[in-house]
Amino acid sequence: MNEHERRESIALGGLLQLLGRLLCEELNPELLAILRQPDVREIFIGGEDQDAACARYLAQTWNAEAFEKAATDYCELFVLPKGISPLAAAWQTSNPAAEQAVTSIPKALSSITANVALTLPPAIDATPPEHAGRLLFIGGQLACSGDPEIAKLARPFLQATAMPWLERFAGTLASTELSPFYGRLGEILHQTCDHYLATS
Amino acid sequence: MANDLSRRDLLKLGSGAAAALGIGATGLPLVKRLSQDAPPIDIAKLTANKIDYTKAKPVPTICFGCTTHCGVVGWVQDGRVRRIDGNPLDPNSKGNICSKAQGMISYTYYPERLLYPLKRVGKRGEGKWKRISWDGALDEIAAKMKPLREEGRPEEFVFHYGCDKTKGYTKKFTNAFGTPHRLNRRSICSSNRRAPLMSFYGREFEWESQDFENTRYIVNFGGNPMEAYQGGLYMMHRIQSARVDRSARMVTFEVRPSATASVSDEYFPIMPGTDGAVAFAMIHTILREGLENEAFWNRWANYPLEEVRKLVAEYTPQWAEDISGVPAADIERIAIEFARAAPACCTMSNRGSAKHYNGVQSDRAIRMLDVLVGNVGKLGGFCLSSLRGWAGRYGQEGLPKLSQPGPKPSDPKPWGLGEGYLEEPFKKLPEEVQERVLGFPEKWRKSYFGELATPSEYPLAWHWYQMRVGQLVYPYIKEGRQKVGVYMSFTLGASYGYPDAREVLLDESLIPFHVAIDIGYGEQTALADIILPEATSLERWDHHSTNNYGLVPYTGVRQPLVPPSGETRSVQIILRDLARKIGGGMQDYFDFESEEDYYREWYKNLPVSWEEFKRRGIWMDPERPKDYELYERPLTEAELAGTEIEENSGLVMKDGKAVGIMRDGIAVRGFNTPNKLINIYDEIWPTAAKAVGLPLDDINASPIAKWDHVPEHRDLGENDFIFTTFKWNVHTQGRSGHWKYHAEIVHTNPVFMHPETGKALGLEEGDEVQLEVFRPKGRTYRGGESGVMGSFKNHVRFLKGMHPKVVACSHHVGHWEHGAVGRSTNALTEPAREGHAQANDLPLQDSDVPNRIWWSKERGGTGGGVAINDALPINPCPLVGGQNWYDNVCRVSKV
Ligand code: SF4
Repeated sequence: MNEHERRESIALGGLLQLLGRLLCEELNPELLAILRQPDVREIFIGGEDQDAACARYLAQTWNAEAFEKAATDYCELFVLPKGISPLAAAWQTSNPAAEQAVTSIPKALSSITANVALTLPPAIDATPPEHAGRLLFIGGQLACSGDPEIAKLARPFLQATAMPWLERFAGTLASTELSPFYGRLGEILHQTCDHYLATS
Repeated sequence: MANDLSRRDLLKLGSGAAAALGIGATGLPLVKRLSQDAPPIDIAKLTANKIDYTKAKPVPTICFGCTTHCGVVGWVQDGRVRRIDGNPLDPNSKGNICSKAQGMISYTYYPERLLYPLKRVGKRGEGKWKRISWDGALDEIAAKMKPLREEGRPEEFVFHYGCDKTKGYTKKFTNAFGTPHRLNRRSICSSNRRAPLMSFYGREFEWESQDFENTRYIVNFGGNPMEAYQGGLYMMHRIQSARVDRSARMVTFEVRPSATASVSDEYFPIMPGTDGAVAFAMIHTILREGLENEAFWNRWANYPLEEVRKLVAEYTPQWAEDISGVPAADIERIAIEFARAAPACCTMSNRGSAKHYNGVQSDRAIRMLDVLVGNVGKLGGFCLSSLRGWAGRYGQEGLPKLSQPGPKPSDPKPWGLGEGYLEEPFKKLPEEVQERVLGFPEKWRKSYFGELATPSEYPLAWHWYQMRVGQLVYPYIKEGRQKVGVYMSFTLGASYGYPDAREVLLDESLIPFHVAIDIGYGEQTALADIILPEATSLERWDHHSTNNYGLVPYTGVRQPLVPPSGETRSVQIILRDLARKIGGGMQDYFDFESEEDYYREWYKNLPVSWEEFKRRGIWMDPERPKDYELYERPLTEAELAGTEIEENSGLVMKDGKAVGIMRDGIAVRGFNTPNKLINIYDEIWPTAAKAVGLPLDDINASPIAKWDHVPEHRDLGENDFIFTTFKWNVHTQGRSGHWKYHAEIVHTNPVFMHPETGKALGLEEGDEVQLEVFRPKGRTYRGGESGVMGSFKNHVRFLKGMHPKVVACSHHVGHWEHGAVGRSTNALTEPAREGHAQANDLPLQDSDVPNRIWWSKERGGTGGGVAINDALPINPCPLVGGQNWYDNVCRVSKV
């Protein structure tokens, strides 16, 4: 792995870890601080072609009420049955490739964790193996590994376990009207799938 | 996509995120190989998804797909349960399972499962929630519960469970807290059947264990073990092998062609509520033909046979035919065949016979048939085997003692006046209740704990033991019979199943604080203030013992196959941690860290090692004789020590208690009733009637089994039909709504009726009809009030074999909460939910899910059935309180 590849791998790792955490945690001061980082903010609010609603959302005064609203939105979207479950289930898809991916998760995960020392923050650790955020975060950790052999596993790992059901999940999330932020998160996740994880 | 991003944009975002996350330019050193010698990981080789039996680990446990609790073996591969098989060591199920066992996997892994503690944000029932930490959740609950205990009002904590198989663990919690309010739902299930059994045979034998393996003839009054019956699976494979291997015959009286009726040798569609008439006519025939076992009767029954002859003199087969529609010649023939097969013959019954106004007496008549032919406890007969946990009770002598570890909190004090009673809560009860209770016999007063736990109008719901009257809990709270401070529901679907529940649960003046412990988000959890997510049966421990159809007591262990998913916790850990937060001594009863250690201690007296027991999942003593004729076993010398024989009765007395009875000069143990006999005649019924003011001419007040019509059915009009509900064999009442593969099999509940009935109503198959259900007429809750209880719309299906006066609908679909699989898009029952069309469209509209739920309206399907439970009136049987599900009268009209 040359330096360029190395940097790209870490960038991919950062991206996947951020997406993973945003799917596993409600917006909190720590995540907001990351989202306020200029490069991150710029992409989240859409650069020149600005996503005004998302920009307004992130720029609001983050008092207790705002955090509570964000937590309620998170719950409605990702925890309650009528939302958009980030948990994969084989029966949810009629795409054989997606079904294969979902059913590959246990074996791929157990092999990874038997070989590699991962460090999962509590919010990620509290999620089940088939949680989109958990898989993304693990992919991100692999990509950030100091060991190039392991860093190279990130993409095939996510391709084997998450594509293409993740793409579909991202597409649905992108269309949510509940929260501009989560809609934007869906869009970014979808683009990540397209650019980094698609096999073709 | 509204805002396309380039790869470069994403890299920028990723680099920014990496920097903010503190990931340096060289990456994370921690993410490294555990061993440098390990071969490189080849992802492509890691994705095989088939179960590999050379690698998967089999772990025995106890299924919780329904209340039968079969021993099963789960195959675990890569940390995931892949498949459930039967455990051949389980003497009840013998390695058989039903399809619902795989539902445990669906339940554990379904994508909408509750995984985190939740706290309500908006108004109760509004559906707005946020996640909270376990500590935060338990602190908040403890803060509400503590004052109740500290201020001497522990009874204001109400624990209400749907399915609790912790074998005393949750009771430890409620007892330690000091509340008697540990409410169940037995009355909607089996209390009308249990009460006659306990009246006949004693407290230990609330459940029979027919020796189907060796029987030659079965007469089944409305039991449906092939579909829905606690212990049904244990029965069904024994019945089928008796039929196939030994040519046993089974005759079924049912109102619809149930799965059990369908595999019977003979099936008779019977007029609902008339099973007792057929049983009486069979008794009449057996006596007329001289086929009774007089010796057995005289030895063990407490009622002269001559009196029975007088009782049934008028109950001729022709009389029964006029009432039931079953041809007299068939009744006679079946009675004769049954008696000639004795003792290898048995009756069975369940809700079909018992869940009627006259159901208790019908079951007493049915039970009399077994005594009459002398098959009780005999090879192939109507056997009784030890039940009630594993506590050295009748029939369990000589077994290793197994008991819940740790100190045992004392039971709450009974409510009443005077020494030994709790006066404060008693004085808060309505005056008429106080008066009624003070007039009860002392034994009852010592078992009285207020109106929710021990409703005074239904003393036989708690005379033998606490069966309770669960369907009255909400109306009683509404009437102010019990103040509630904290209400905790545990795997309970009351809001889906009971008409008044939703209204009460939404009223914060009646239920100020509601905690729900559950696996899935459903109608009940939706009305909570805090939801605590529970581990599934594949993720937790439990002690297991039950009655046994192999007639040798056994025990099993439920053990976790995988750790609890997400942040879920077992109910044992939830209550342990809550007890610690409440403090005040409660924590002393839950002084353990590891659940495995706790259960190891529970089983420490088993004569096998813990590891061996876990490996087998089941223990029984293979040398132990079967429980045949327990009542004839002579008392041992140790049992006889210090006894006296009562002259007139022949009872063998020790410390004022009968421990046996003299028969032919030998002291034998007899039955476990106070007089050691089978109580065909029991004064408990008129005693209870008098105590609550039920007229003595009511059928339920009779000391001897008696026939009378169901009040509602007495004068049925031409357009009146009897509305029957039932459960399919792939579903439970509430839990299975989440299970995709089971929902694929059954996801709708058409109104079944006989084609001739449909024709008379001018209907064609598939027509939409409106069903209006009327309030009951008997002496029951709101009985006699006129008018419609509720109505719903559904489509019609014709089914030959239905009784022409019956319409039938299953009652476990049409959920308005739950996951996408269980939710329906059909209109709800009126008037309870009038105007609230079920607008629960499917989630993931852009995704594949609607395609997978192919019965959705979007795909031209039925939309997932109709919730009908709100149209079923609360209708407890007098004295016993069992819900009379099958008395309901309805009218059907084309929409
Ligand atoms: S009958 Fe079926 S669901 Fe019920 S415990 Fe047995 S295997 Fe499980």
